[in-house]
Amino acid sequence: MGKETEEIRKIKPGRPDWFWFLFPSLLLIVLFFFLPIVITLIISGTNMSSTTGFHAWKWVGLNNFRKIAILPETADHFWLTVKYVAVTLAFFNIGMALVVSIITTHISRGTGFFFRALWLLPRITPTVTYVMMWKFLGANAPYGVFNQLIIQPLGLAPQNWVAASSFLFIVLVNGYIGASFGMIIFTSAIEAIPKDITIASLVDGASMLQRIRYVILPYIKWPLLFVTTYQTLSLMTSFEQIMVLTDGQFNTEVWSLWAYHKALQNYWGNFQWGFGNALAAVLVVVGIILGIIYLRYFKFNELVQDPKIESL
Amino acid sequence: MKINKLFTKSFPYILLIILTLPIILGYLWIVITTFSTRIYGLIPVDQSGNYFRGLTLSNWTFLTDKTKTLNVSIWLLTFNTLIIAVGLTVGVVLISMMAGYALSRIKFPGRKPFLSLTLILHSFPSVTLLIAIYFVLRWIARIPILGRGIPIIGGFGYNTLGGVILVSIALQLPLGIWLMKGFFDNVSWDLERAALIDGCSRWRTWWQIMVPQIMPGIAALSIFSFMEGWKSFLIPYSFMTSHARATLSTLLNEMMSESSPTDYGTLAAVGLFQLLPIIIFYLFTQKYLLNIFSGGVKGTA
Amino acid sequence: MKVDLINLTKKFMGITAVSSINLDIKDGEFVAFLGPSGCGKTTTLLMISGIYKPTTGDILFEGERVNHFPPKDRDIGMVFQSYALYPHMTVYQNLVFSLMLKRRPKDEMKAEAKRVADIMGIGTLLNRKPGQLSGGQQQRVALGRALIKQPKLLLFDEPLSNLDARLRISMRGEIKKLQNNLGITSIYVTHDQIEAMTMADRIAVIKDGILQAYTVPEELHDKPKTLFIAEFIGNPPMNLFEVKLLSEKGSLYADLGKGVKIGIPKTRTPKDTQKGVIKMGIRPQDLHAGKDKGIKTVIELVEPMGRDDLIVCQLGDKDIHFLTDPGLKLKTGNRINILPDMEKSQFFEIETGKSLLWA
Repeated sequence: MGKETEEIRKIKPGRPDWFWFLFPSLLLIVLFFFLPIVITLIISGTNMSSTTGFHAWKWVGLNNFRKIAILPETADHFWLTVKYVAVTLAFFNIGMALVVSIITTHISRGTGFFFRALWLLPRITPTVTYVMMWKFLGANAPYGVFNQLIIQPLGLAPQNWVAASSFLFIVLVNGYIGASFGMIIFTSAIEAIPKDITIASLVDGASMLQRIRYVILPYIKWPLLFVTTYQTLSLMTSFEQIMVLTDGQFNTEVWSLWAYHKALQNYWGNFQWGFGNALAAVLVVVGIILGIIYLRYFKFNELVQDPKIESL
Repeated sequence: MKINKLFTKSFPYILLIILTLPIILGYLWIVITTFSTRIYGLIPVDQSGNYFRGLTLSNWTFLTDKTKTLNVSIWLLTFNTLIIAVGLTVGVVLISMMAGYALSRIKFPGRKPFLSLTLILHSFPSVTLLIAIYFVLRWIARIPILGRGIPIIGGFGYNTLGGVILVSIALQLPLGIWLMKGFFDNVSWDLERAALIDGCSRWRTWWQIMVPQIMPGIAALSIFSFMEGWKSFLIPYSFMTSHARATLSTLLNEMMSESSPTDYGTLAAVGLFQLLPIIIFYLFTQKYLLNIFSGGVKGTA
Repeated sequence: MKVDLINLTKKFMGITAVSSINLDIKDGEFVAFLGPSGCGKTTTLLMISGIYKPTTGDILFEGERVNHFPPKDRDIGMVFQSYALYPHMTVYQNLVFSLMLKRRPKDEMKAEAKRVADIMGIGTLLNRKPGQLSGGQQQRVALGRALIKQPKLLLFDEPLSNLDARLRISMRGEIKKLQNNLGITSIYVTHDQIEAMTMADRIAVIKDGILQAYTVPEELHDKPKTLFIAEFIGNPPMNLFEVKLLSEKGSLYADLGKGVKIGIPKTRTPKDTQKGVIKMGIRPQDLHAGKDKGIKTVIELVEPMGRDDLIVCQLGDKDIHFLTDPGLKLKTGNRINILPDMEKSQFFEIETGKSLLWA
């Protein structure tokens, strides 16, 4: 009797519970992560475009990548992307985030909270509305806010700053969104610094700058590294704001926007899926490599515990 | 000495205000503009440029008239946006709750690889895949009924609300799964053991015992997803081309590329119209949300 | 229900948590699993409940192998240290949850809930949520939830650890009485030896996943088979120190150093008298303050414990503790004589910790 029941239980029909719990996510991950990665890599080896259609295309091997290598504009897009990521990261996603989180944790609680809430606004504002705001802040006289409030009172010549200082503006637009990510993480890290240590440094007569250098920065070393790696990846590949702000005009076409334009949105209606995917493939490969490094580096495996129920 | 001290005391505030100024000015501008005929800087002016004149409500007529740009009612677009936001919220929360539970609580082969995968995808720049996703959606569109034969959402293929929802869900899943897993991790094991001994199946334990324990997490993820869906631009813009399926974001983008700075009034009003629900939401749920804005990985860094 | 564990072993990622445990539990018996935290007692309990699967070995209920039965098919009720009440349900819903899952009619659920609530004295709490109850009340509800199924086996996982001392003592008696009245076979996991000693019919002492002893409480106390059991059972703990065995004129002595020798009675002759140095144990209550007979020493410390005074003094070169009547009014520095009751002494091999009397 005992053996029999056990047999019956073992041959429980169908798949185990965990499979169905994971099935929907697996399906979506396969459909919209795995499949696209594979498609990106495959199509990057073809000359597929709206001219060839989905039937008349040919394999071109690594030609697309060769084309990327020899095109004169490649260097422009590449260096622009590097410059854009580095500057935004340094001055906003890290720099501004640090400044805001340090100041707001050292003034009255309510005021600090209020300013952090303000800094979160750009993150929750719909992209188009947010970019529209910036467009108008930088718009030409007599409309633009900067021109009216700062430039003209200083006696300088008003102009359309979005066009004139396009690089500055893509950094500002993305930076004011990006800073809040680091701000939240740094704030909670700074608030977690034991009060004794802050008091001890005050007793020792440390100035604010000394305190930042010797108390706060060492304490937020890990969050700092985390934000840097995470935000590098997202800055490198996000182009939504730039697309709405300038659409790549005025020398602001970063790599990811370049790929998007080539493949899906361009003025001539000729969608170069093969070439666009090759451009995207470069980012995909960088993304995968950085993702794996990131996983290794932060030892997420150690955070994963074994379940404490084994039945069923 | 005294002045010096006053300076050091007020310096952080001054610096903070200067740094925050673009945000303050930007939002001030948007509010003032919506009630002005024209605006110079932050000062409303009338047609002939007289300062502090020209306050008007005419920018808000889009609420009743068809929008000039797309020739559809704003309420249809609002409805589309709402469908995306709700669909995304329901989908992400439900699917993340399922996967998060399994990953947190069930022992199965491949659990650790799956978790690592979730984390890699969490940091993976999903926008780079948009081009290829275009192909996936075109392929789905060819499946009968499922592709483009479902009422309201249209289906799950290219140029349907359902397709946009599906893509949005997928791209948000890694965050959702990781977040839900974290919340499930913190529920007592004894509680679940008690349920199993009382006679629950794993499914019932999940739904009736575990899910009620992580309500704060579900609330946070729901609010976040709703806001993401409501404000999403790139995915609807890339994968929904017909005007009847536009959202508030795509409408705004269309309007912006057509308008000159002289008639930004309506534009700002539509923007504010889209922004308002989010701000109200945000005011009431800020505490819930902070955990998610940091990517749901705050504790692990 | 009769329960048998046969060579029951559990490994987690190659690390052995429970090592080949064999024991039998008779129908209606109250058995305690006793051991320090992390010894494998809770793991064993969770295997019996079906939450964990044994790595090797078998679990038999009434002689039937149940290794692969899910928890719900095992006819068990379980009470947890953390109570594990469903926080979002009322007390009533908590109680009848298992009946609801079995789709019992409403009337029956109500009747059963009333029956159990009366037994546990929680009739007035039925509409409250667990968060509104005190720890003691929560534990009563948890017990009620386990009882309502009329299980054939009750499992307790340190149910009283989260309660305060006074409540713990009264609940202890209540659980014992309840188990006696209902006659349900019970397994009670605890690290508190007093709980185990006062409640259980038999105690399984577990250390490092290995079953050290499985016997009635008196035997555990009076005839400890290992040094670990001797140290673990009894409060205050047994005095244990190394002594040299001396044989003079056919009599056996324990040399405590500094010229202090105590005679060992024939009934307590250690198995292997050639050992030389061995460990001797004597419980604090088996040492008495004598008037003029006994070993002379000076009191180093007096700890009043209420009913008794715990005295610390030197015997030979060993520190020993013993209990005296507070009426004697002994003070630090007093000279006293000590009479050890050597008929109750214990001897152990130093290397293996095995008893030289009972093992």
